[in-house]
Amino acid sequence: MFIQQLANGISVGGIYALMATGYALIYSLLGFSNWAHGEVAMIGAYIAIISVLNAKFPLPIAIIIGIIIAGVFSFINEKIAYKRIRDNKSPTMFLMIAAMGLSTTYQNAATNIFGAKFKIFPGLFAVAFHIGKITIGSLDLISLIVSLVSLVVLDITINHTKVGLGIRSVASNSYTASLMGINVDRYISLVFLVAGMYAGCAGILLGMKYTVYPTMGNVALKAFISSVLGGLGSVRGAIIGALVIGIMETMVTAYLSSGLRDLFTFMLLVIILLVKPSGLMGVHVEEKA
Amino acid sequence: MLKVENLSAAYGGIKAVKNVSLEVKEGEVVSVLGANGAGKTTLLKCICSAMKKSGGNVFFNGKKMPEKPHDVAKMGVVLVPEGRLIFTNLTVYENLMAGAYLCNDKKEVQDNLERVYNLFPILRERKNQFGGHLSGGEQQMLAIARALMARPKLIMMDEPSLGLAPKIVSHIFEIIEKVKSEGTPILLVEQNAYKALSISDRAYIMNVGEIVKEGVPEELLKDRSLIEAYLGS
Repeated sequence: MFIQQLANGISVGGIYALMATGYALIYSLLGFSNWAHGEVAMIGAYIAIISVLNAKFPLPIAIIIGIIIAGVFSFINEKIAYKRIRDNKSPTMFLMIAAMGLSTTYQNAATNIFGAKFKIFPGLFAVAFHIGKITIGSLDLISLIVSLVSLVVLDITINHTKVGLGIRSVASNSYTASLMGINVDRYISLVFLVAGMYAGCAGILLGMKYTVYPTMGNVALKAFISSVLGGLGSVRGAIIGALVIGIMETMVTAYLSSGLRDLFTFMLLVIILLVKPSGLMGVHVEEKA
Repeated sequence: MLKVENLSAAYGGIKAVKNVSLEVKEGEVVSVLGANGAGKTTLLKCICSAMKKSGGNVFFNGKKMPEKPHDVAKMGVVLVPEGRLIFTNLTVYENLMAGAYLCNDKKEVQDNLERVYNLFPILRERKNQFGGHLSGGEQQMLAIARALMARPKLIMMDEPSLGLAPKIVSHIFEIIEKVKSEGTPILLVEQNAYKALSISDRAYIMNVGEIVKEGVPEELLKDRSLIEAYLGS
């Protein structure tokens, strides 16, 4: 039973992590909470479900379309809203306010365009796999594999490639990075694109597991908490934070009550902010000079 | 190779740099001296396009300087910024690699790394430490080393002696001389006038945004009143 719940928890946590990492990356580059990140996930889910239901694309193609559109959508968001604010050298608070505005706009736009009704992905094959004592549904297994592979790829890219070094340099000090010949705007665009694609992927997986609806992006709050738990701006921290939250939520639901699930999540947030505000993996390097 | 013509820059309505013209020739070390608020840092920022100029032109090897700082770096002009500004949460090694960002030849990067480690042995010892954990002097060395990793055609340094102990300052200036002896031209901005003049081929003296005097060090040092008026004793 416990191992079973653990597997379920990792599966849910993996989905949260897909969102939390993008969230952390954007925070590390621009120093603001991108509250519109959840809506990117929502758009990805809607595009995928419409591609299946209305355009009659096969499911894998629909998923790929959803992921790509979510990435492009996130990229465009940055170009139309955040880039202007950055170019004007306005306070980062403006970025956060703009993101909140975008979030509300997209939720309402989605309600208008797609309707407020829940949409369900059709014809999902539900096969259960038995691995030792664990029984895991095909969908959970797929989300587990997809998220773990994506997260490992992301982690290696960030920490061991030249592109990753570029991203980390921009995150550390974008002005100095530009003096070294690093094209800051290009890296910011890249990060929004990739973060958007990861969020889109998370949105589709959540939509398949539950349903698709206009305010489903609110789940980004869990990604935010994961990111704070792991240490704001740290990608590895976001992954660990997301897994912790995913596992805790499934455990609380299984052993206590599903009604207490969010209570525990937010309590964990409060505790971490009180005890270790820099987060589990928060590497805050104090400057000596 | 570097030619600045009538450059002006302003913060809001306040003019920080007014009609400044200067030149750095092949293999030269040129200093820009002056007190706080003379506009020295602003001048450097405008040269490398990190700040918008309100007038004038900057040419490098006859070509107009591009408008984005990363394109300026591509031309081989690298600034060691005021206050070091190293990547504090990256390791020393990663800082140096970020400096070599524009170089795609792995062999060349390795050779360069070896050269820089030989110039700054302390950085080799600390290569796996976070940049932010270095002392002020070590951070300044890292900032210079990082710029050298780019194999610059012209290196600009903004107050490399700022906030460092006299002994460390002497060491930093020894290193600047070594860089000079390798033939890389340097545009140096300093408050420490005597130190800077001791290694310069030519110098400009700036006061409230304008160049008030230009000359070779021997000549400038002879003029006591000038030194006292603009540089302090």
